[in-house]
Amino acid sequence: MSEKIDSPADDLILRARGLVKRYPMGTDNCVNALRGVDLDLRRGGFLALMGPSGSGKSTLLNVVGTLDQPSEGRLWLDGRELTKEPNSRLPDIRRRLIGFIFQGFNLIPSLNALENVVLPLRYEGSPKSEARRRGTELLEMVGLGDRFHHLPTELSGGEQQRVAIARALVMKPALILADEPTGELDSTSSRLIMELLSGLNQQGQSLILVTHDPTTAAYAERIVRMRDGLIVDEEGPAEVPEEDPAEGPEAV
Amino acid sequence: MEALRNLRRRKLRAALTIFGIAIGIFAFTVMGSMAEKINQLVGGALDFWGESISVEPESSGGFGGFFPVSVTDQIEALEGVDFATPSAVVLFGNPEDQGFSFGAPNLVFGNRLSQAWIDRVQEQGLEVVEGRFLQSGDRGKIVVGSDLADKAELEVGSTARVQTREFEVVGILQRSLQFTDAFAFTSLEDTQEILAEQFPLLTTSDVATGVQVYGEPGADLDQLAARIDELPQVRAESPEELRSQIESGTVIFNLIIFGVALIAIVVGGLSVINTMIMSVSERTREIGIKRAVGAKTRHILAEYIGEAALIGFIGGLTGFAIGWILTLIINDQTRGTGTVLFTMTPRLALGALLFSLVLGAVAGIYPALRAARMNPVQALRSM
Repeated sequence: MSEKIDSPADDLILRARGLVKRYPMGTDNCVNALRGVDLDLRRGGFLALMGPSGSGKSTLLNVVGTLDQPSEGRLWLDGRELTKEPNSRLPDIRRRLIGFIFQGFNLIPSLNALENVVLPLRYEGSPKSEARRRGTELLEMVGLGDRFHHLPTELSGGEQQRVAIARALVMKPALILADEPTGELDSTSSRLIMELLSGLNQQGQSLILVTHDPTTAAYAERIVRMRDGLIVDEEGPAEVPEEDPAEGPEAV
Repeated sequence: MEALRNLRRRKLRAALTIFGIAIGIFAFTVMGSMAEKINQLVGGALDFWGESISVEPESSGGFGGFFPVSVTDQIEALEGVDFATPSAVVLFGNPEDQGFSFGAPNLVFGNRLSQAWIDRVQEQGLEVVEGRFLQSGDRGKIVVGSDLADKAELEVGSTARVQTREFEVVGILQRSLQFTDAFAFTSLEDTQEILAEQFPLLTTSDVATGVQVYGEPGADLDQLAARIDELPQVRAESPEELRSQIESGTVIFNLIIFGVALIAIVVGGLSVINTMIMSVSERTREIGIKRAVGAKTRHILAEYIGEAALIGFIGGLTGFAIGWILTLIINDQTRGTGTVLFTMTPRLALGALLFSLVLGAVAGIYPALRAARMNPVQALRSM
C-alpha cells in the first residue's frame, strides 16, 4: 500500500484499504464477504453501492458503519483510523460520526416520532431541552412538523423513513449510510426521500447509499458496483443504463 | 417513561409477572408484620424483665408452683440485691374460658406493693393513661392493660371480675404494644386469696409464684442469679438466660419470614427472568437499532435491568398494599378480643419495597446481559 494511507488526505471523509471480512462456516470453512475492498469518498460526496444480493454491499456498509469489524484491512473516517479504535469506543464513534438509514425504517415502536429522532442525543447525554429543540427542528425540516407525538404505527412508510432520516441527522454526522432507503416505499415516497437525501448532499452532507434500483442510484454522483466481495466497476455521475450486465437477473 | 410503555406493550404478560411478585411480597408483608408484632412483644418483655432476675419455685415448669413468701427475705439478704418483690400470678378469667388466643394470656400479677417496686415498674413503662397506678396498701384495686381493658370492657371505676373476686379498676395502662397490654396488676394479698381458693390443699396462703429481684446499681445480675440459684427451693433465671430463651422463640418466626422471602425470590425472580428473556428476544431488532444509533452496553443493560426492576417494584407495591390493608382489616376485627396480630413498621415497609425492587433488578441482570451481548448486525437482521 502507498504511504498516503497513514495520512488520508483532508478532503476525504472515508478511506478504506484492503478490507476483508470473513465469516466462519463450521470449523474449517469460511465465507469471504469482502475480499479486499479499497474505497475513497470525498467530503460532501454521494456514492451509490450497487450489486447483486450477496455481493458484499451490506457487509461493506456495516463495516464502514462500525457495526461489524473487518477481518483485515484499514479504515479511516473523518481523519480517524477506526480499525485502531478499541471496541468499547465504537458506540461513541458510531453515534457521533455516522447516521444510519435502513430499508425497514427501523424506528423504535414504543417511541413517538420526536423520541425516535432524539434517541442518539439521549445516549449522548444531551440536556432534554436541547434534544427537544434539535428534534423539533429536524422533524420540521423533513416536513413532519405536525407529527411529533405520533407512534411509528401511526405514520405512513414515507413518513417513517423521514423520521429515520431526521434521526440519522440529529448528531450532525460526518457520513450517512443508507441501506436501500426506498426499498419498501412506493415511487412517490421514494422520489420524496431521494430528493430529501439529495438536498442534504447539496448542503455538504457525505452519503453512501446501497441500492438495487438504478433510478435511486441515479441521484448519486458516483456509482460503485460490487460482486463477490470486490469492487468491480465504478462510474461517474450517472446515466444509469436500463439493464446492467453486472446486476444479474435478481436485481431487475 | 419508556420502560412503562414497554410493559404496556405486553399487558397480560406483564400483569401476570407483576401478580407473581405481588403474591410473594403480599405473603412477605403479612408474615413480616406478624413477626414485627412478635419482635415488639419480645423486645418489650426484655425491657420489662431483662433488667431484673426472675426467681421461680424449683422444679416447676412455669405457673403452678409455689414457694413461701419468706424466700424473698433470704434473697434480699444476699449481697448486691437492691430489693425483691414477691408476686402471685393468676389467670384473669376462668381457666376453662381461656380458649385459644394469640399473643399473651390474660394474667393478673399480684405484687407486694412496696414503693421501690411501684417506682421501678413505672420507670420501665407501666404508665397509666387513665386513673392512677397502684399505691402501697391498696386492696381490691386493679390496674388493667389496654388490650385487656378493651376485651373485658373495663374503664376506671368499673368492676373487674377476676375468677371469684371483684376488683375496682383504678387505672388503665398506656398501650405499649407489648405483653403487659394483656395483663392486670393488683396486690399480692388479693391474688394469694384467689390461689388459696383454687388450691385448697395449700396449708398457708402466704405463698408466691415468683419473686422479681432487682440488683443494686452496677451489680452483675448474671452472677447474682447464680448465687440466688444456690438457695434451696428456688430457681433463678438470669437476664442472660431469659434473653436467650425469648430470642430462641423468635428464631422460628424469623425463619418463616426468611422462608417466605425465599419463595418470593424463587417464584417472582424466575417469572421476571422468563418475561424479560421473552422481551429481549422479541425486541432483538430494537436492540440492533439502538446499537446502530450509538447505544453503549451500559445503556442496553440499564434499559432492561430498569424494566425488570420496575416490574419488581410495581409487583412489590401491589403486594405490599394488599398485605397492609389486610393486616389493618384483621387487626380491626380482632381488636375487640384484645388481640392485635400485626404491626406495620417503617423498616418492614421499606424492606418489602426495596426487596421487590432489588429482586426485579437482579432477575433482570441475565436477560439484560443477553441483550447487551447481541451482535448488532445479527440483531438488525432479525424480524
